[in-house]
Amino acid sequence: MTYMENTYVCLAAPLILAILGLKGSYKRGLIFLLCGMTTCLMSAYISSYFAVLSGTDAVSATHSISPAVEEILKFLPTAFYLQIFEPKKKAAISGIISIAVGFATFENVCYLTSYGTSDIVSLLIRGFGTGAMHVLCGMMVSLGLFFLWDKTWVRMVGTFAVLCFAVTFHAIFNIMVSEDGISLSIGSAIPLAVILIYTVYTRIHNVNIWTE
Amino acid sequence: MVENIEGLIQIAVLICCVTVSLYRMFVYKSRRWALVSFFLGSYLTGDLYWQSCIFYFGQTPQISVVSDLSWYAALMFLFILIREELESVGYKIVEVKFRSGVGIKWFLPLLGPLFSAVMALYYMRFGAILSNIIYAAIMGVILYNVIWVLLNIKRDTDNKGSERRVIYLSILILISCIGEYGAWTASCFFTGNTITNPYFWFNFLATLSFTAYLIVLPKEVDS
Repeated sequence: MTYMENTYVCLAAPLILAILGLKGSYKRGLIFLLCGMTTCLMSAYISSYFAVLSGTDAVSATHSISPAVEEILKFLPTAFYLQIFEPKKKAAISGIISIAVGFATFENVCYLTSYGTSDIVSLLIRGFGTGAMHVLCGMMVSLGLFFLWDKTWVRMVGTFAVLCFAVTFHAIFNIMVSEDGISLSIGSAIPLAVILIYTVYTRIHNVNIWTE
Repeated sequence: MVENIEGLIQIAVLICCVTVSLYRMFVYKSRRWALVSFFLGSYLTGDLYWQSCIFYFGQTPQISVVSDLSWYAALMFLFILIREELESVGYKIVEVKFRSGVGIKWFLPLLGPLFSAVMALYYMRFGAILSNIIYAAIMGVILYNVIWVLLNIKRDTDNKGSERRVIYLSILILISCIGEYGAWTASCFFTGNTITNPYFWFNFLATLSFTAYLIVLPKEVDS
């Protein structure tokens, strides 16, 4: 049995202490990381609750309930930040991606504690694949918000639509990585490849889509 | 077999369309192309989820709400796209006052939501209630906007090119909607997995309409 909350306390403690001592953008970055880890812990509980409530088996829950719960919970801290602090778009985008990174980090740590650290190949696939998927989902949500945040009605409809899009993308990833072998490799490689293509393309052509 | 091939063709077409629209979005930093990318991308992920379940588990999704979410998103992006294009040529549906003599033009668009509501009631006999209500709501507002544009937009103003573009876009969206409704209705009556099933014809019409978005909308940078 994995005691996720114990792992969480252990990982969160240094972050909380650092947050108390830091200021400015460093502090904000760490708060988002911590929020990401917290939402990961919360989503594990909430997904399990909904799976039991709907009588869904564990495999189906991974493909349908978990992606929805995870993406929605990941977005909540961002929604709070956007509504209360009204930050600039660039700060909000960094926040969304930091939350995704925090989420992926905590998920990977829980995976390590459950399955051990002996197989470096599967850990590399897992680490890069899941990390890339969460970051890519964060990038998709932030891209959607970046383009659709100016009018209230577009913001409301657009936010829901972007979240729906991210949920389905996440669900496809979960289906692909649930099978070992080539499926796991391809499933992990797709988000990684998309991020690499994006990075190379924007570097070569000197394009920055996030500039206001 | 035919269903799988048709699904794969749609996915292949959508991947090509998403790639082109993403390229245009990045090159022109265009909000319009971002919306098109999200619309096509959402439709693509819905299809991919559906096909993944068939491929991995040998059956359609146990909980189909995930692919439905993606298709809702696609329709919502389509709705935002038509409204944005309409506003870009200076039209705001909510601000337009009723004028005598043009009453029929204001009431005819209401046939769109009415049609989608009636169809949703019919589909509820075969499928889930909530998803049909959501589809009806989104399709209703899209059809309302599209019919409104076709009936009310003036064709004799200075900005002819832009207005013509909005009209073409509306016709295209109408074709997509016909494809969708045709496929949904056909699936209620025909279950055969052969090319004679009208479901595949309508789905193919929808597939073709996706490529037309790349042609109808201009490439240039947003003002």
